[in-house]
Amino acid sequence: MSPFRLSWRLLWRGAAIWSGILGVIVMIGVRAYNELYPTEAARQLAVTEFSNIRALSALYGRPVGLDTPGGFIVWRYGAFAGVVAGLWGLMAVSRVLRGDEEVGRTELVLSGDVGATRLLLTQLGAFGLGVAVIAAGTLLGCLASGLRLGGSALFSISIAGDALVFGMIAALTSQLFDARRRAAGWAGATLGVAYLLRALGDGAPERSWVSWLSPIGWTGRISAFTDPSLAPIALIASVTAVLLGGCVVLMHRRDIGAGLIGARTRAGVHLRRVRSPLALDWLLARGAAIAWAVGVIVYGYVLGFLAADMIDYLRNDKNLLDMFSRIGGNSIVTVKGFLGLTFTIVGIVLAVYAGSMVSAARTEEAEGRVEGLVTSGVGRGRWLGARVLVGGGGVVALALVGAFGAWVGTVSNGSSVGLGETLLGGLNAVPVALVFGGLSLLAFGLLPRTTAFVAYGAVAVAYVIQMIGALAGAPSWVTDLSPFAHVAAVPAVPVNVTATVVMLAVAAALGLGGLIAFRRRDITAE
Amino acid sequence: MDAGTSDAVAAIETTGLTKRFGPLTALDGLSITVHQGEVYGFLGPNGAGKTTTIRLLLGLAHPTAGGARVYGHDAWADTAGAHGHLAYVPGEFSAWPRLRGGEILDLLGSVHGGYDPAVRDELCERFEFDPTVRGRAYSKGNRQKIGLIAAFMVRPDLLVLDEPTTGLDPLMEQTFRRCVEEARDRGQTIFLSSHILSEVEAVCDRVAILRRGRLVEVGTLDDLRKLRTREVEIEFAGSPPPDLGVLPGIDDVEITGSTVRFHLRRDPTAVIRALAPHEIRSLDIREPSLEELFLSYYGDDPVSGRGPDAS
Repeated sequence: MSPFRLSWRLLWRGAAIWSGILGVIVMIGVRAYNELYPTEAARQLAVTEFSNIRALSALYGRPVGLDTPGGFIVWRYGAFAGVVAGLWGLMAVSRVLRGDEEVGRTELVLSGDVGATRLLLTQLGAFGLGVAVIAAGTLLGCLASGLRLGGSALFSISIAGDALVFGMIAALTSQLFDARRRAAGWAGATLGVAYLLRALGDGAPERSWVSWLSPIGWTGRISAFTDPSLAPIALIASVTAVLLGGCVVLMHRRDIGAGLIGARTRAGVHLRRVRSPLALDWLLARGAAIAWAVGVIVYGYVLGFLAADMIDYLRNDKNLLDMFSRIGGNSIVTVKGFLGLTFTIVGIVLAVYAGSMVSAARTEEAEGRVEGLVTSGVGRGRWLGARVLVGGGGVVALALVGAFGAWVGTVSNGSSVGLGETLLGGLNAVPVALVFGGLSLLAFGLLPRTTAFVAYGAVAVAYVIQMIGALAGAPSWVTDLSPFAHVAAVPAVPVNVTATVVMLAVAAALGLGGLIAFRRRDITAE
Repeated sequence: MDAGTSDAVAAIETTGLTKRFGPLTALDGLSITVHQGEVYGFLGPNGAGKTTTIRLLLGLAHPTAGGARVYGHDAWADTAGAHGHLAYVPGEFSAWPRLRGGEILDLLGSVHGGYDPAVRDELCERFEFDPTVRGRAYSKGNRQKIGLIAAFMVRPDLLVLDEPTTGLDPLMEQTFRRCVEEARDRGQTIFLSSHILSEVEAVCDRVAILRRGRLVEVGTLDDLRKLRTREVEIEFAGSPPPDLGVLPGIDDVEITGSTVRFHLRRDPTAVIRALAPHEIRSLDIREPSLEELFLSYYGDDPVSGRGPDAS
């Protein structure tokens, strides 16, 4: 199989899936916009009101051309789609470049008659084709919704730009680090910083230059449907070229299989005491848990800080009130209501974390590290139990630190809210995350090879059902299918005890089923 | 064909052990007994079912039919009991990338119920193993040493070794053989799955040969050699007697001028008697080499030609 097809095989599924999701989101968004703002007058009202909310600009981007469906879509979903495309790009590239090198496939190809530079260009060529697939989904979604061709094309190019830039950043980190996870992790950190810089710049006109520091900010400046600007596209193209050149140079300065960074010196190492599965799992989970904690603290703080601003504007707008009440109920127009909504989103984040912990357990098994422990007398139940304990503890801890961040943010912006009720709001997001953790465990027990797919796919499906379903005005039984729909907006409303008990019971049943199935099946390595 | 039964419970006993993966039968009715204190070689070509057998012995996989007992404990139903007696070295030890070698040894030794640090240090020295390196930085051979040291240092009743010397250099392989011999001298049982004939010949008391999921032979190496056909070449002074081919245990007779070649599958008494009246210039009886022995077992069709006899 040619190197191109080898890389393409790793890429195309993800590209096709995300391409489709982005296209569908565009279509649903346009439909919702046309329903909510049917008349020119309604659209003008939307323009004046949305444009004045700094918090919304920080969240979504600069409000430009909100009186047209195209402009609204770019504003409301542009940054989100950019982040999704960027995430796909960096995962895909780190997998094709560093992942292949890590398992020794690159070595095999290079021992043939393919040169290193040509191989790199071929692999990135396959990635480029994937970028085109991602962009095509958005383009088709726009055109199917009746948006103009020119604007649709520019919007798709801006999505492609985010995928391209962060893919190339991952190509660079793949030269720097010798493990795929670290390469993807550092590229992901760049993406996080880029999103924050864009939020800072877009949130306040007086410091709008800050968004020019962020690739997501550049694509936000294309303003595809209203008064488009091509300068950001030229910027993206040049940065891509520079990163590509950098990759080629760096690649020739290192050994195959090694990175430029990471060869740590061995002087003065002291060996840690890792004497139980629990100690092992904590050690393995620690680094990621700290990164997640930083993420949820920042998220909580920013949204807590913005809460008061948001509420002031929301109170004055009947139309907006209507739109938001479709997502979160009327209590949204209070600071506590806004925090409640924030915590339901924390629930989604925690669900992804829970899934990632179970998914990592499968990786341990697939790479053959479970056998040694299990045959040394650990027992399968104890091994998986330790992981569930560390993962579950992580979910609770993340909920608490996220809520604490939100409390600090809220209070520092002059709103008053109790620490206790805020922490309770955070904890209220735990059961739903455990449901998804339990579901991942069941997949791990019954069909281990599908663990990661189920862990992340289930959260994505539930999120899409709930958020998009609500905006598109789907019947309530559809949105109720999503476990996220049953998370009460604590602290605005009391904890929904029934839902909490049911979710905990479901989580326990799913998890227990997974454990029993795991104890009965063969342990399989790959 | 088992070399005498002892009163003690068998270290390993499998009865009709069978594993199917969908339509593929990986292991088909394996029945073997490994006695306490013996070094048992487990040979077979790639895909013969060696690793499958070991995974069943370890309770990592459940048998489709039949069963296995380790020191009397059912390998699947009572894994805890079975694991209390054994330590396992996989063919490719997978190290936690972020843990250092010494930390991994400590972890495996601790969960196994403790170990003597002095024994660990001695083994690290003998295997020339540096325990301060992170898992991801070890070479294949060095990763394999982690598995070997972890298994030898806990001094289990039974060592289950699945092609354990993959990636080791010849010097380290010598160290490994000495460790196996010392373990046997201490009374430990060793179940060694291997590709390397010299290794098996050097350390094993008995050998089982597996082919396509079936047991084809068990015995000491000497037993196996005796079972094999010998190649006989006789040069007669005159023309060769015509009736040699009808003698029992003789196959593939080939006559070129005054020279006769054939394969002899049993003791040569009958042949010698038949030859006695004739004048013979030279007589050559050749034992099969170990390689030939195993190649004949590993070959595609073991029944015809020089393959093993079912007797």
